[in-house]
Amino acid sequence: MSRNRVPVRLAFALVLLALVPALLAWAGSPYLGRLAQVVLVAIVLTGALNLLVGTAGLLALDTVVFYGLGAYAAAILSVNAGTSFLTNVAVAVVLTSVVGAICGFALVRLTSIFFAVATMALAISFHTTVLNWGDLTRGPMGYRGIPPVSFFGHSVSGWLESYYVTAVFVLLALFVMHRVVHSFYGNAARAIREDEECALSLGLRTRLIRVQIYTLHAAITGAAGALYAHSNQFIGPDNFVIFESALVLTGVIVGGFGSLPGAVIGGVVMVLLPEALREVGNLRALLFGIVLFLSILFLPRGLFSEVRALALFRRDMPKSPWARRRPPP
Amino acid sequence: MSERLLQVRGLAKHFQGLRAVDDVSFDVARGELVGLIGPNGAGKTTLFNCVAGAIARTSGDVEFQGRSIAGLDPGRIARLGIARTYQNLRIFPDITVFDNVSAGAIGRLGISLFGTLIPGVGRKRDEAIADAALAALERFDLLSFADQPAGNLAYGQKKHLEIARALALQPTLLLLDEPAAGLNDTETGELASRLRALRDAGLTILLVEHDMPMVMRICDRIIVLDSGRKIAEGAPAAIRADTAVRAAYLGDEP
Amino acid sequence: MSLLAVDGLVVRLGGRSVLSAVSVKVPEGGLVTILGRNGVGKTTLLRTVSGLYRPHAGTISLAGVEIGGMAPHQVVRAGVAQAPEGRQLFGDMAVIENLRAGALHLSSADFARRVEYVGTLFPIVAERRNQPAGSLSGGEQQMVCIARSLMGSPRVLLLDEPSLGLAPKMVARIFDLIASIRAAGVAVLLVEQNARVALRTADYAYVLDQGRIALEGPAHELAGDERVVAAYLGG
Repeated sequence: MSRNRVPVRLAFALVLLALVPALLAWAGSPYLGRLAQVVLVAIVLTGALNLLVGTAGLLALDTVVFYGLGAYAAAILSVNAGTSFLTNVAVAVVLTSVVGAICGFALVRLTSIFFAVATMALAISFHTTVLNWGDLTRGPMGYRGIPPVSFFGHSVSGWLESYYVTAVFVLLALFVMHRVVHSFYGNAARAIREDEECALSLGLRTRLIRVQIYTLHAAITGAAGALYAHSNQFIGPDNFVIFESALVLTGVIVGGFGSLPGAVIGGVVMVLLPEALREVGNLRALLFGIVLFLSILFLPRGLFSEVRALALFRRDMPKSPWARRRPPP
Repeated sequence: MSERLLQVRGLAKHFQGLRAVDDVSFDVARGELVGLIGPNGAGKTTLFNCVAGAIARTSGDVEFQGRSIAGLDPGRIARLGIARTYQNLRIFPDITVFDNVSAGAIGRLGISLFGTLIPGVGRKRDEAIADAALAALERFDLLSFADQPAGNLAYGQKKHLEIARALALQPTLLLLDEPAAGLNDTETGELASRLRALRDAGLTILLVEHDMPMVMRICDRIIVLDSGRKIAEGAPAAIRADTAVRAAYLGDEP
Repeated sequence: MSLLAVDGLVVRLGGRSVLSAVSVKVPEGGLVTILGRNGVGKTTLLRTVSGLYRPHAGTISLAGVEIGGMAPHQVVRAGVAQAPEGRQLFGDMAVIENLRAGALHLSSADFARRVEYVGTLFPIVAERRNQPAGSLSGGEQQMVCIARSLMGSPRVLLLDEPSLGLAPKMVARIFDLIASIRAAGVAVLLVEQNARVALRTADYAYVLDQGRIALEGPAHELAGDERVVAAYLGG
């Protein structure tokens, strides 16, 4: 097996930043541009959920809660207080981190199935609150007129620029997630996932690590929400129904539990698949059910399993002492 | 003069009227290899679980290195220097052998999210973790399996992996729950010599076992439990001849 | 002619040999005991006879009919019932419901008759019939467990460590009951760690060590034998 440094990450970044928009510019279709952006956001959401469901092993349906919190925070602030894009993102991250830490602390003690149900309850309560707290969220009408993404006075115009902003955000998010998953920290989380009691007897701070991962997942998802609000310039309660959480979860499962490359693939598949089968229309839910079912049946470890992903990134893991001392194969 | 590393005083654990452990007291001195034996249902694993903090004791005290650890949670106890293995072999089958063992090293050395997110911070600690894991693997001849999923190992190797993982914690006291269970004669022999080597290197070991020949061969001292109570304590030869011990295992005299 | 004959049994679990060339015979109306310390394969032997594990080699026959490799429910139907180690009663269900679980195929009338009969051996069955099994004491649970396995009118009863966790007085009671079961015509294969009390009740004994028969003979002969002690405490 060749020991060449396959610059996976570099290649990926190049593709995202240069090739895709070049292709899109050539195709000249704003629709495709928007689709590409949706794919990128899906990648972040799937990756963030994968931290919780895959690496930490806590099945959850609360993506929409933090996505929505981030989005509404950005919308409400920017429209009512005129704050800048970056400020809104920062506030979204802080807000979702705090809420995430509180929820995480409260929920993490629950055993798996109860935890999952509790996150479902959170998602449903969130949607209901958004729908009914008209004074704050403008209820079913949704929030329109959100100012576009802007950096230091320059407003993003056109879908190509918007795409670049999203791509940079995604790369940052992926970098953070990569550092968490492909490290000894990720290893600790996986050990806790495999056998919590045993991990505890090895001295691992199981509760703390789980709460930290929950908070991180909330923060990344919240940031994505803020970005979405500004990119789309309109958000509504319909964007944050529990079904959307289920979609993201499907992406995690199809791509591969605990695998970051898998989450990326899962996110892409989840967005592109229904696009490719547009005639399906209202049968979207059925389609996802079938995909999920087939996936679990035939590819339980996903399209890109965690084992493969960890092997791929092994040289990145903080163990160059390990790499140096490893006996030759 | 050997320091008393572990002191168990009047330890008791009751479950709804069943006295699983009933007023047990004993010491383990630093550098000793002590065996804990007794017939099925004698309370050995329950005793282990109490010492390791996995279950809450009903009464009594456990002191480790002079300080009371009764009532502390298992994570704390592990970080204080007590590592344990399980009767029914609990390794992490879906992750690699190296990752299994490094989990133990992480437990002792600690890990932080902040240090992980920022490249460069925590590098020294990461190297220390890797070194501890590698050292433990080397000790048990598992280095060549490092990148394989732990589930792929043979049963005997899995048993050794569990001990290696506990060693990555660099514990002061090692609690082994039936380490020889399911091993054949050759494997048991290897285990016995490894345990002796660990003891010679200064590790204190307390082990629960049913494999009498091995226990008699390697233990400095043996403690015998029956129905939750300590009925005998002493050198292997003395234990073998002890009438109370014989009665416990084979039943009372008619 | 043996009612139950195990011949040259080899059982492998998880790639390792747990039982090697084990041969045990239980005659009609006999009470045979298998002794040995923990981990030597006694429970594995009973579980294999009950059909929970497949033999790797060797035969198990009941009255000349091969039952090795049969599915567990078929083994029970053939007439071999087990009272497992640790009782394993359905704790939330009443005593009478636990007994029903041991004889689902009987009609209500036959079931009532059978319960009455078993009740003569185990008075507890009548006394506590509607109590949740989990609320009984250890000894009482053991009796219900054995009663449950008798519900299907087995020809051979397998008992796995009935004395486990019981006080000496209770152990004596249980073993008296086991003797009356044998007197009622059911052959018994008893696995026990408590050698003395088992040897007092049984006709014949086998001592297992590391998956093999280390010693065998009439119970009263083995009762004083130092080799039995060696098998338990290391030679």
